[in-house]
Amino acid sequence: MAQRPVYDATIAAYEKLYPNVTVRWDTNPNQTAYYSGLTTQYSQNTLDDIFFYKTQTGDPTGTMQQLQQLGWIQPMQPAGDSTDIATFENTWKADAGVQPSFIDGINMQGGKPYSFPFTDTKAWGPGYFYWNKALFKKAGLDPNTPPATWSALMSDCATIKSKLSLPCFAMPMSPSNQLQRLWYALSGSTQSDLFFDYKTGSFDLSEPGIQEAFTQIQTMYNDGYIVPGLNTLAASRSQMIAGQAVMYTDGAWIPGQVFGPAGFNNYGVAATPAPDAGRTGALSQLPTQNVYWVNSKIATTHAEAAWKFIQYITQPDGIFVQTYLKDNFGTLAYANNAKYLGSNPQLATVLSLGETKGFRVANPVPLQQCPDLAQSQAFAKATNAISTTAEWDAIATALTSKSSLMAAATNIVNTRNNILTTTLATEAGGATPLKVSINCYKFPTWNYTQDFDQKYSPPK
Amino acid sequence: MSDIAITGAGRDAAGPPSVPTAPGQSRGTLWWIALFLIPFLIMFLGFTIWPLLGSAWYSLYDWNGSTTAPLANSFVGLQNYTTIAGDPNFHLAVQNTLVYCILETLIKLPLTLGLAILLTQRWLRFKNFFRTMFFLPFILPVSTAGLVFQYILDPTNGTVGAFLHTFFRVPLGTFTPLSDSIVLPPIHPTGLLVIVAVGAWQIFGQYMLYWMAALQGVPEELYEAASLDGAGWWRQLRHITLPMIWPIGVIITILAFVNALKVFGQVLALTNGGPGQATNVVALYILQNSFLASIPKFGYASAASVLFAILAFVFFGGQAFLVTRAQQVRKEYGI
Repeated sequence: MAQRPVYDATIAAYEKLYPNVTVRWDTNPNQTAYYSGLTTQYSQNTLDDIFFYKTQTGDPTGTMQQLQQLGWIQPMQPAGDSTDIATFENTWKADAGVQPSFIDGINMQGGKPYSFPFTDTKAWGPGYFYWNKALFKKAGLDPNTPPATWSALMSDCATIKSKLSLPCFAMPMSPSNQLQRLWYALSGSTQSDLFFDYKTGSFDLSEPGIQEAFTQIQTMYNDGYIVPGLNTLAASRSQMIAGQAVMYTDGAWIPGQVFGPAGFNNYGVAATPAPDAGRTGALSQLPTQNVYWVNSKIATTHAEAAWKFIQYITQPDGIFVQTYLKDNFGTLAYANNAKYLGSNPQLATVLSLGETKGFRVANPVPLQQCPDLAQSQAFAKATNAISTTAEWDAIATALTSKSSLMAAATNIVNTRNNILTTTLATEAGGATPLKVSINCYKFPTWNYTQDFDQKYSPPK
Repeated sequence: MSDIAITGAGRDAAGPPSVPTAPGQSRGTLWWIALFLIPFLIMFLGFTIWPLLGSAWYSLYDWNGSTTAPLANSFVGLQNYTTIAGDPNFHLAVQNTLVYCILETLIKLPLTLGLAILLTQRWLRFKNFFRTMFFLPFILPVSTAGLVFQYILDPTNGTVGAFLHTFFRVPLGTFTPLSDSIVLPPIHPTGLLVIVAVGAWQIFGQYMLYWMAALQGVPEELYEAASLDGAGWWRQLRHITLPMIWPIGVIITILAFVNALKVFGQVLALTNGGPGQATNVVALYILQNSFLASIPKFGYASAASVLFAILAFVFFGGQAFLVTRAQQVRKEYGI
């Protein structure tokens, strides 16, 4: 469902309030084309005053740092503006979970805000399980009882395959990083859903929970429970909607943006089935939804207007919040979502699941323990030194060649870990030494199923 | 390019066109020559030489394209090259590209030659119909051909899967040529074989025309004389046709190989380089690191381009050598 009407309604209301300002809100549904065009737009001075950017590579909390290095951004709040950020922030904490809204090094620097958390709530993110109720019923399964464990999942898939001759699961694999749709959901019940382990401070694919999740996916693939072929994201979602697959895992955005109102009664949403022995991990929550940034080449007069507009769309009870939530596009970090969210029962379930303890937990943020990491290149170098999709490529290759994940993964994680460790050491011993070490990334007492207490101090 | 090379062979036999030698005419002719050359030279310098030099320059920088040109402080020397040298994905892309080149060339050339021989036989009826039919795939955009084969090969809804299911009771969803693997290094993924087959199918008509042009250049008198001497079709083929088209055949073969090096569209449309990186090729690797990357690595991609260009130049060099040699042979045959 297009979000255009939300933007148009917001713009109309804003321009009525400020008749001397004209707002143009561009949208591009093709993410690849959008991101690949940003560089050219910036260099040719055609990048919008406020632009959307969510890091595709590197540290997910390092977007501000990445954009600063590119020189693309400036503080949202223009020089000379007297808005008290502390007061401003207080209005935004309606549903911000344990993460504060403004974090130095993530969306703040020098007391100036560079971005604001947009959709960052416990509910918003990957890891939800969707199933086709009609096909469940047709296969003789209870349409209101989704599988709760991996063995129940396998059993249901076996039934579906034998009764309906359908592959149970839709799973995109082209490009390989689309595997995240299923990966996050399954690995998030065994460890954290990231390839970086904040307990040990290392890139790791050998952790038993990760291996267990991969084995589960590989078993499903080998048993013919996953729709075969190199399917794109669009193809997989179409397979789910067309009834060519019965189950699908993806993010909280599926009810509002993919199924739509027609899907209210056709599909169920639940937590992803857990290992039979119970969950030993949780989905990750990191402050990564700081996605709107102010172009560093913005004209001075535009900067003031942009700042005003940002404040306008982030009013917790403003028209943007109300129309955005009413049309079920998702949750907003600075709003009372339950108050305004539309009548989509699936989104209501999503909200409820998000509030379940241990479903999605706040991960440690190394930057908060070691502020100098804001100037460090180590993590970015480690993630960019070899292909940023190397782990996904390894999983896809292991799946389709029916081989072990460990063989391909060992080289990848060793390379990344070596670069991370050596670069941190170099930065700590340089001419202008940074207070950084690998210990900044280690949180050995953190429990994967609990929100990380940000007051924790890492070992020296 | 290929057409010029082939038709040029006939002109060489007759010698170069005469150039007026009168002093007044000579200068005027030179002006005309320069005038006609200028558009080509501008295009050649602007779209071939300059980008090549630019790529070589960019390859020495860690440049993401945010600035109109790399900044001095982003100079990294040969670091991009050393990184690429250690990147297994680049090695795999080069390997896949070469495998594609060799296999596609080995498939398309013999088949198109055989077809061209068949389509130039006097006894064959409906020649134009057959020529058109075989040439049609070449007209299709690569993306359309890729989509068509995606539909044909789709494991669940595809034509081949349905055929196998209906007639051979192969369960739907088990025919997965684009994502399967076979243990036959270096042709690891079956997807690469599909890409080769689709590539050969699509380019079939073009090479058929090349061979037909070559075959039509063989003097008819030679066949008549051979017939009078009692030589049958097979002996005529072995002792007249193949030796006579051999010099041009060398050119066609090298062109086929060099053109196949640029494989890109089929891969993008059929597998997007997957599963993982299993079917990636150099051209797509370059694109993934530049325009498809959220933070483009233009310096790095330029280094990959330069390395790829060197590889292509090696083949072009080989082509130049073999073409020269072929022309000598042609002169020996008096054509």
